[in-house]
Formats: sequence, C-alpha cells, structure tokens
Amino acid sequence: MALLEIRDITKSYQNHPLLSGISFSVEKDETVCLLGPSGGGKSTILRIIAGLETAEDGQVLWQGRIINALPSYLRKFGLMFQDYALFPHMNVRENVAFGLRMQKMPDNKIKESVTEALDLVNMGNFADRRVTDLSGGEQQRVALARALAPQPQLLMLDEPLGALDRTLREKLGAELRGLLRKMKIPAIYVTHDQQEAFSIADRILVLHQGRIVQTGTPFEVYSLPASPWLATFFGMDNQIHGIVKKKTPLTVTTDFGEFACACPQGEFHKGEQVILVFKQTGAEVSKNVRKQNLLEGQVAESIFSADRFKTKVLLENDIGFEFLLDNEIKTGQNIHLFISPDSILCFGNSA
Amino acid sequence: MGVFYFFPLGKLVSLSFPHPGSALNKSTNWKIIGGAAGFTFLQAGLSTVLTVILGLPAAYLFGRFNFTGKNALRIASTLPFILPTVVVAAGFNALIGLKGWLNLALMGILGASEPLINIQNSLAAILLAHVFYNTSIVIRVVSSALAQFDRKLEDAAQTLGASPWKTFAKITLPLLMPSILSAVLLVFLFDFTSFGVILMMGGPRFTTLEVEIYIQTMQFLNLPLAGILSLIQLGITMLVTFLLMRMGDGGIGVPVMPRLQQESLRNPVRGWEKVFTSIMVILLLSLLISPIVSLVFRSFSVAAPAIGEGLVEKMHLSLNYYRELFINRQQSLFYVPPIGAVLNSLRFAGTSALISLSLGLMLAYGLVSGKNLRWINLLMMLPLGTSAVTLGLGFFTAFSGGVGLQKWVGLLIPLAHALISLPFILRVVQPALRSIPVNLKLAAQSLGAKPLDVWRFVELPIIWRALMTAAVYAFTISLGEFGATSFLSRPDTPTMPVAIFRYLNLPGSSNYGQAMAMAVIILFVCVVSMAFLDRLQFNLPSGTK
Repeated sequence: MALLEIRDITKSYQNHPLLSGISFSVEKDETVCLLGPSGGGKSTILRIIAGLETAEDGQVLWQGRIINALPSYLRKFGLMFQDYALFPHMNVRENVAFGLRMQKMPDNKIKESVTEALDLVNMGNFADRRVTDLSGGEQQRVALARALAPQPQLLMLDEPLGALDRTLREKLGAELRGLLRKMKIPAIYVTHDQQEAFSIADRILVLHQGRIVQTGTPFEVYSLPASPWLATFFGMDNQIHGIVKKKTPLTVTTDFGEFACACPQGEFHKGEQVILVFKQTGAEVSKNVRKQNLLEGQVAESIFSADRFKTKVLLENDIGFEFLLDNEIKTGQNIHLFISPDSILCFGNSA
Repeated sequence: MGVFYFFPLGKLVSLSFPHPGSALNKSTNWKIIGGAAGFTFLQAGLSTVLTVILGLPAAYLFGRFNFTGKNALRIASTLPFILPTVVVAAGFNALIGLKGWLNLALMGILGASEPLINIQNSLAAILLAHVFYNTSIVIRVVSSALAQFDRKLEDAAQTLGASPWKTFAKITLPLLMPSILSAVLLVFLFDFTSFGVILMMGGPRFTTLEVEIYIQTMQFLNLPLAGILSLIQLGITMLVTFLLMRMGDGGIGVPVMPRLQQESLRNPVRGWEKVFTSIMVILLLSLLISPIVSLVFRSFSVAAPAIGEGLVEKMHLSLNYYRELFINRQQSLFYVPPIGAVLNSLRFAGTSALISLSLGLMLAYGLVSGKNLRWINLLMMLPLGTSAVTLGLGFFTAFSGGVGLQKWVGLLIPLAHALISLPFILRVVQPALRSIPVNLKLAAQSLGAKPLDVWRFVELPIIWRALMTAAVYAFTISLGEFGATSFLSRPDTPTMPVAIFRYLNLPGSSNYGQAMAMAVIILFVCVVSMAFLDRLQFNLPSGTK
C-alpha cells in the first residue's frame, strides 16, 4: 500500500479547469518531484494534500485512509512555502519552535529539537536573529528547519530554491538532496526547473494543462519524453514533420531526407503522419555521403559551451536546428551531419 | 504659521499664568477642570471601545471577504471622513431626535402622543455619533492591513499544527496589532477632541474639556480658566499625536508581500461566514446611511402639526424649509436672512482655501528644497493635534483685544480654517512636489527655459492635480468647521455650521427644518467635492473631518 495516494483530484480556478483528474502516489522514503511550467497548478496540489484547499472532486488517502475532511493542522504534513512564510514577529528560534509548541512539547525538549533542527541546516548560530534580518538563503534554511522540526510524516517543498540566485540554488540544492536522503522522509518536491528536478527526484511527474503527462525516473523522462510538448519542455527544439515509409525498421520521409529512427513512441503504420525530434547530442559531422539520416545545412553560429560547441545549423527553408558538436565550425560553412537513429524520437501527430 | 499658530498658543499660556493663584485657588475651578477632564476621558474611552468593537469585525469583513454591496458600503464608509459634525448631528437628530423619523413613526404606529425614544441629549447619543464617525477609521486602517496580510503565514501555522483559533491568536492578531493600536489611538484622539458632537448631541448636561473651554469663554468670560483647560487639552492631544507618529515610524509593519491584492479575499462559504457577512452589512449600512437619508428626507418634509399631535401621514414633501432660508423673519436670531450664513460660509471657505493653498505651497517648497527639515515637518503637523477649540480660543484671546474682533472677523475665520487644513494640504502637495525629479527641471533649463517658464510648463502641470485636491480639501474643511468658528463668528456673520447649531437649539419646527435644509446644503457640497476628488483620483489621507 502506498503511503500517500492521490485519486482523481479535480479543481478549477475562476471557472477554468486547473487540475483535471490528478492521480499519483508516494511510497515510503521516496522523493517525488512535480515538474511543470509555472502557473500549472503544482502548488495547488500541495495545498490540497496539506488540507489548505479542498478539491472539487477526488480523494487524498494516507495509509489507505481517506483524509479529505481532516483539517490541515491535524495532518502532520510539513509544507515549506515558496517565499518561506517565516513569521516576521518571531525570531529564528521561535519560528522553528512553533510547530513543537503546537504539539505541547515540554520546553526543554523543544529547545533540544530546535537546536538539532537548526544544526541540521547549518543555522545553529542564528537562533536569536530576527528573521527579517536574514538573507534569502538563510531564510530558506530556517524555513526548512521549521518544516522539519515537528518531524512531519510527509514533507512538501514548494519551489524551495525558486527565490535564490543560481550559485546559491546549486549549493543549497545539493544540501537539500543530502538531507532528504539522510532523513529518509517521504517528500513531494515542486519545481519548474528540470535540472533541479533531475538532481533531486527519485521519480518525476510532469504536469501539463492540469494533467500528469509523464511519470518516470529522471533518466526515463528525459531520454524518452512522451510527447512533442514534453520534448520541447526539455529543450529539444529540433522537430520536423514526416511520413512513415517503412514500419520495421522505422523509416520516415521528410523534406530533408529519409531518417531511420530507433526510438518510436508508439506503434506507427505506413503512410502515417509523424513528428521527428532530433536530440542535440546525437549529431556528428559526416564526410561520407549516406542515403539516410543525413542533414545538410549551413552553420549560422558556433558557440563554445562546456566542452563542446553549440552549433546552429540553417537547413532549407531557413529552419534552424541546434546540435552539440565536438569541434568549432566556421560560420557560413556548409556541412553534412549524420544523425544517429538512437537520438531520433518519433511521435504520432496527435501526441 | 509663527504668527497665527504659536502666537495665539503663547497668548493662551500667558493668559493662564499671570495670576495663577486667582484661577487655581478656587476649588470650584478645580472641580470644573476635574469634572470636564474626567468626562472627556470617560466618553472618549467608551466611544473608542465601542468603535473598536464594531470596527474590528467590520475591518475583518472588508479585509477578508467579497460580498454583494461591498462597493456601496465602501463608498458609504468614506462619508464620515467628509461630513462636518453639524451635518452628522443634524442627521442623527433627524433619525432619532424628538422630532426625528423613528419617533414620528413610533408615535404614528402606537398612537402615542409623546416621543418614545429620548436619547437626545444623552451619553448614548454622543457615543452613537462617535461610533458613526470613527468606525470608518478602524475599517480603513485595519482592513487595509488585513488585505495586504500574507495568507501564507496563516497557512504555514496550520501545517505546523496550529488550529484556526491558535493561528489567529499567535499569528494574525500579533501581526495586526500595530495597525489596530494606531487605529485605536487615532480614534481616541478624535473622540477626545470632539466638540460639535458633544455640544449638539449631548446637550447642556455634558461638558468635556472642549465644551467647558467654550462655556467658560463665551458664557462666563473666564479666560484664565479656559486657558488652563486648553493647556491640559493640548498636553494630552500632543502626547497622543506623538505616540501615533512614533508608531508610524518604528513599529513592525504587516508583512507586505508583492502579490495579488485579491488573493486574500474570497466569498463567504461556510454558514457562519454568511451570517456574519449579512449581519455586518446590515449593521454598517444602517449606521452609516440612515442618518444621512433621514436628514435629506426630513429637510424636504414639512410637519403640519406641532409635536405631540404628530402623525406621520400629515407630513408632506415641500421645499418650504429651503424657501425659509431666504426670508429674514423678525424673530430670527440673525440680523440677516439665513441665506446670508450660506454666503458667509462660501466666502470664508474660498478665502481660506486661497490662504492655506498659498501657505501650503510655500511651506511645501521650503520643505522639499530644504535639506534635513524633518523637525519642521513635524512642527507643521502640530495643528493636527491641536483641537479646533483651542485654536479658536487662542485666536480669540490673541486678536480680539484692542482692535476689536468685528473688524477682523472677515480674515480671522478663514485664517483659523487655513491653519486647520494646513496639515492636510501639506500631505497632498508635498509628495507631488517631491515626485518631480530634479533632472526634469535641469532638462527644461538646458532646453532654454527661464526659471518662471520651468515652473509654468514643467512643475505646475505636474502638481496641478494635487493643488486642485488641496484646494477642495481646504474648501470643504472650512465649510464644515465648527469648533474654532464658534469662538470667532459674530452674530451678524454666522457661518452655516454656527447657524445650524443655533437653529437646532431653538424650538419650533420651522427652525428645525431650516437646520435640516442647511445641513443638506453642506452635505451636498461635501458630496460634490468628494465626487470631484474621486475624478482627480487622489487618495484621501485618513482622518479628515
């Protein structure tokens, strides 16, 4: 039995459907990541689980028991808010102690737990500081300590790194990952940033237009996105239309030639309209002329990125594709690129 | 400012102390002082408590819920900010006075020959009028804090195990405390310095410090005692004003997060929320609207029979009371037809607006161009904490001797009014001036504009709206001002508020009706001014009376 189960949650906002039939579950010791564009209702899912909002339809189950009617303050789910929501009239210690005081824990034990929680996030020296004097990163740690201190049965994090600058985001992201592994606490992590999701999640749920459109490990989700939209979402913008020429091995005819494709997302029959997605990493400059999987174009720019060169290639009709190539190529040069069948995804037109 | 604020106040001080023995040794004087001070605190305290009891739930209603009629209620709640005390007093009189609607209706229904409700000239009437005035202040201050309140703080508390009640007690209330406290202080200040309301709603039985000052001056000509009373009054109001300003400076504000304003508002869903909303809407509407509506209707309804045989059916609509305003009757209190009071008021208001606008503009320029003139800024706000009566008395004592009040009255009243409206004017004009970037003027100069051209083509168009707003303020404040005017006006140059006060104190339904008619005229001008200001889209600074 799953620890937490969400069944068919439906919710609308100002008469527009926000969530339509969301179902998923969280197992013991698992970090699940809700990934999706901003404004897609991810936070609302957390708020419904936390009991701060009610769904129009569907159930929230904890250890098999429906808890829809259980008020928020009895659920013992920790929620860390996007902008932290630290109580401005309390200092750091009082903020962290708040949940423990609500549990009517004796004072000496509260003190112990608060120290422990603050040490966990490396904020031990800040106990008596005013929260309004803290930097963004420090506030983030205090918010985490406050959510962890009452030892919640489930931890929910709403864009916990969203308000921080990039360097800090990477540093605190790593700390957070370590902490979640160490605490063995089931967690739901909400973010719009795929890198963040990939680095922290055991399992990713991608949310699009109020539905979960793909579930899987970070590797599964990224290597085999389930739709052209997902491919675009992950930054795979090299997409062209084509028609299936042969079913096995899958061969597709396009305006730019014939392509063999090793990663079909579904079953296709001959003559069917499909969309091909070329991953950025699957191309190499080809000297020999081939019949298949060959793109011809002119280099528009070649920019050094990490240890490779991000190369923009203009095809016919001024369509521009981007590939990561090993060597720099002069702007204006005509090249042939071999696209490995393993790096070509094929989707049905309706997907 | 020096001459017309500090000189009169200085005169007050010297007045009180030349023969301290003579004024202070008499035990009757101490009794008077003690009694007046005691009642002032009592009524102000009670009024404040009642206002807060009604105001806090009302603020919660405004800050948390969307409901039908919210806009209407919001507009209604700005009414007390602009209505002069005489108008409100007349309004309540028209509603619950001996000749008011409620009594007329009850007498009609029950066939009684005597008015059944007699809270006129009672503490209850005073409290009611104060609650009418100041509930809006609590609503404004607290509900805006509530509306900006970050709801996530409450959500966070709940996920940490705090029940709704605990959340309110530990999070919401402590964070709203600064705004609640400043609302309470503001309300107390207004209740404490209330003059017209006490005089007109309380009748002769009740004397606050303000009223006692008036009585000692106008009836007993005991200026030293009036001076002492004024100083006591001044000391206390200064203290409260000082506290208020300190709160504005240093308190922890409500956490204002950059977020949608509407986020914290929602429709009432649960049963108690709906009941609460309906009850509050009805309560507030009847409190805020009914005196005004009764006033307007009463001014158009002529009661045929004398009071005692009064039946509602015999009343008919008529413009009689308005016509009466143009007739100079023999038995009338004034040497001029009542319409003269209207003209006086308008003339004074115009002059006062001119004086305070030019004074305010000069001061504002001085303040904006000056380097660190914070203390001057504070100084300029002092008249805000000085009651109108104290100011009136100061003027009375300072300028009446020798020259004779009569000669000066044409200028003294507008001057006093100008001083009263000066803080408000500064609050409107100063930010507008400050909003003009220096570069703008430099740019104009570099394009060849002479200093006067810079002012005409750059500065004036930018501050134009603020100036108009300020002028309308000064005008309406002057039009309704009663406290200071009551000391300075002469029988042959009454203003509308003074005339209304005298009419209300006279027997006879014609006098009563004329008071109503005049009050409606002021009401009309105030409402038109507000509509005009609304067009100009300037926010009212809170607490304009």
